Amino acid sequence: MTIDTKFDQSTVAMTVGTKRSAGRSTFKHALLIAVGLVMLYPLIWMLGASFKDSEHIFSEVSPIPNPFILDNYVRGWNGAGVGFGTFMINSTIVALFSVLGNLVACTLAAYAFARMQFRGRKIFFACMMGMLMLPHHVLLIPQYVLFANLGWVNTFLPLVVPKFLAVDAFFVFLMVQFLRGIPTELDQAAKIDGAGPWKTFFYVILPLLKPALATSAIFTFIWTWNDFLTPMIYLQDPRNYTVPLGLNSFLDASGDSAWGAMFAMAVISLGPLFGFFLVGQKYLVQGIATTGLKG
Amino acid sequence: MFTHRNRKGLKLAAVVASAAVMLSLAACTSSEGDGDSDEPIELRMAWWGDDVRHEITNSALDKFEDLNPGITVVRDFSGFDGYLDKITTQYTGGNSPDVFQFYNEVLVEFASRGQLADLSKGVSQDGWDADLLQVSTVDGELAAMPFGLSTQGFIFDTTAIEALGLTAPSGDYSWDDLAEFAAEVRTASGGSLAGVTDLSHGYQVFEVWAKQRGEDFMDADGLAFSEKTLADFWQYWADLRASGGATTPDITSEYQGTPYDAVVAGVAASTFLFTNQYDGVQGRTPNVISLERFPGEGEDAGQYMRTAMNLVISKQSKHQEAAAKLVDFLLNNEEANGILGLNRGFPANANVIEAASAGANENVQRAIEIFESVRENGAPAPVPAPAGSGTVNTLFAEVAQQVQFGQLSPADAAKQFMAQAASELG
Amino acid sequence: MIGFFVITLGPMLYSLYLSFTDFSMLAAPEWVGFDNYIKLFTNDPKYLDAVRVTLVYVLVSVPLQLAFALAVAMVLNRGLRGLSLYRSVYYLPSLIGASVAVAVLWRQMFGSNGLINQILDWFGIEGMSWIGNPETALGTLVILNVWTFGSPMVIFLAALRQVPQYLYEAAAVDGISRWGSFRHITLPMLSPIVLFNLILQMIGAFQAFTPAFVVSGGTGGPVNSTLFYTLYLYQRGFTGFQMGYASAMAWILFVVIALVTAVNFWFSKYWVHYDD
Repeated sequence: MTIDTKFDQSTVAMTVGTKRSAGRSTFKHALLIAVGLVMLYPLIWMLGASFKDSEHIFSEVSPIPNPFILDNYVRGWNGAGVGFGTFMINSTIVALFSVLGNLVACTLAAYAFARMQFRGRKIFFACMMGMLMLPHHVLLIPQYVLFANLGWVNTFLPLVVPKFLAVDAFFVFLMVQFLRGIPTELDQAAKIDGAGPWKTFFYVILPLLKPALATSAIFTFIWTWNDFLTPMIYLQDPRNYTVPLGLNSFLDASGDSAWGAMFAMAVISLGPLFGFFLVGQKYLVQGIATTGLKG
Repeated sequence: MFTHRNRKGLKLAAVVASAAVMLSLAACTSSEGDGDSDEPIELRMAWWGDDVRHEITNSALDKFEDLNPGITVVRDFSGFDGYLDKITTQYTGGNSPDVFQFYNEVLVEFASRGQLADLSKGVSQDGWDADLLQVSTVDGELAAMPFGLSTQGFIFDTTAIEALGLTAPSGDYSWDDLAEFAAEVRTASGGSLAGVTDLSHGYQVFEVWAKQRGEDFMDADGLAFSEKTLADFWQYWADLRASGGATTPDITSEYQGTPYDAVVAGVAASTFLFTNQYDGVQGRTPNVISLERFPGEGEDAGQYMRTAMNLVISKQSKHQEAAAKLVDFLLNNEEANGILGLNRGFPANANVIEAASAGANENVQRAIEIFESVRENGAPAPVPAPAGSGTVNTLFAEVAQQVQFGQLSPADAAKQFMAQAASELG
Repeated sequence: MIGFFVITLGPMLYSLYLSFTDFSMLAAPEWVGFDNYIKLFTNDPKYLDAVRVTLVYVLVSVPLQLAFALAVAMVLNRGLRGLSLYRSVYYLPSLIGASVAVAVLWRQMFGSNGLINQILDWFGIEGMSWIGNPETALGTLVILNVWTFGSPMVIFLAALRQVPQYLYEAAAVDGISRWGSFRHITLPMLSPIVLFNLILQMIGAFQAFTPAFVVSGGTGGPVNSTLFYTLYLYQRGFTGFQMGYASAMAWILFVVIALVTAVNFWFSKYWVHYDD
């Protein structure tokens, strides 16, 4: 630990900040709730709109539905001849495989970058960062040509396989930064105990990376779930469509959009996302602080 | 839910590194399936729309499959967002849909580059107006056929207008009548309601204005109007903004893409739309919305039968004959049009109008009235504009917006637009 | 690494090649040398608008979003009841931030009939359409970016959990103020992650597309005031059928982002604390 050393010398442990007054805590709650309400207003509006009939969605300002109807949910769920349930299942499959792919591939790649010495490490790292810097839109066509030649179009492969090849530089970089925050003394200790790089990785590093892994899993799930353009281009059969394609298929360019049904299904599709976040955040908070590591 | 093609793909993943493999694969995918007599044929048809359109199109396609054993149609439907990106990208991958719904503004881009099959070969033209087909003929080939027609209209929020003690223009009314009405609405509402949304950025509105003055927005050679006509148009709207009749520029901009939403939201009392949108817009507000023809001197002056959307066949399709059969079915079959109804606009084939209009509600009946009157009296539809015209449409809106926000005078803006548009069209 | 080369490097190089061509996507690319690059800088006023808008957006929205995310992460880290509920609720906007619904929802906030104007109305202030005014439209997109601060917040939260608790305990014993322990413990310990968020959010802001696309309906209006770089690139490439030109734009952006990132890394030596 090389932070201001004067802290290191203290040894007495004491709890911090528990003696704040109850008033302060109430104030905090009030503030958090107020800010939360303003932030959530658009979502509250959407929730309200999903229970309105189409005459009242855009013609009135208030988010409270009057009359209150459930038709949008029925229409949306049956919607478009395929059924929204199919879209949800498809999205879940794509998102879970992507999470798996990213966790495995990005962690390994990041471990290599952060802890191993190999030739061209810096150049590879720069290349990887470079992948993030070119706008996605100009890569769409070359990538499509590539996947079309592989015969992968209209399958989930173009959406999932890249994740297993560590092309999501965002997560590699994220893991690298987290790994660099983990004291190297631990690696060395493991080395002294006779552990190789793989053993060190599995028994020492991985447990400490839990928050980073949880972060990556949450983001991968959410981003894949919400991704619109890539599935739009690669999936050509409604039976393979994912949720964003399903939502989009309620919206025509002209006056005939089924906004109510779209909002209803948008509300429903938030469910799995929110659920995944709730589960993920449990691991998010299991950092060093709770695993009891002390330098 | 991996399909059977995935397994093949997974094996390939193992050898993905080699470029040689990719090339050989490219070779074998392009040689597969040439649609001989007995082999089952799989067509893919793409369209955009909302869930109602998807459902009726699916049932029409079911009908087609019943009538044509051996042909199945994959229904590649979606919303409008991303539709063009998808079609274009799939083209570059040699993997376009066989048949797809397409819109006017980009038709020429595809047709002039030889990407659309000639429909005159396999699709019957019985019951079709020859002039209308001329509109989608590019380089001597019938690149597209209208999959629905509409015409320009104007809507008025009658409920709101009557609440102010005013009456909405109807029947024959001029641009000056509209201006006067709009200013009255603003005054009578105490400033809270604009009489009309500012439409100075709408090239589709200007197109009618130009036609009423014996000119046109674009023809096959490019711009087809004089600078003065444009300056007058922009001056008209500048006056309306000054009188308070039109929406303020910030509100105009908020509703730029869908001006009828400003009427639905109660921000303006009237605006322009295409008649096939009327029923949908009326369904979005409890107020009574009336549909009228465009303002202008003379009956239906400047209005024309406009293709709302087209149906086309890709040149990349390996099953041209089956694709033509499908297009023919959707456009010319009475039963198909009975299912499809007027969802995409009016059928262009006179023989199926009756089947399609059965069961139309009163809003749609009103739209039919306006449309039929334009069929009688309206102006001819414009011929296809040259490639690059999409950029000019965008430019039109951009320059108009600078006038709205007072950054340019109408006259200077018209001059600037003429010069920039000419350079875009090369 | 193999994946990197096949799936990303190949297409990248191909797009570099395309940037020297006239490519409509519907016909084979034609080599035109540096024409695209020359036109960008000499004969395209809209391009310069896009550059200006994007720079303002990057410089304003990134620091704001990071500061907000860090502040909320600190509050939601520990010490209050119901934290996991707050965390989840505060993350909700980020779940929907990129969807098509945002266009409509943002109008409900900042449109002429939106929440902001209703609140102003209580105070007798007459509002306007904040998304329709060229002076304020970009501002609403900055707020949209701050609104979806969930991702950096989560990353900060995860990083906060890596800061050993005993450091704070020690600081408390030494009588260091809260601000002091934030400055001397939290920030240094968090610095690798601050760097990560800074770099990634900057890259993200340079490439921001969806907010402007959905809120302005793809136009970048009013009067090009929200014409983000990649939105213009998209207009040229996909609506104007000039993919070669768009690729040239992409590669200029690539170079700019690479330079900015390199500068960030270089400066990070002075403020980022690593253990290795």
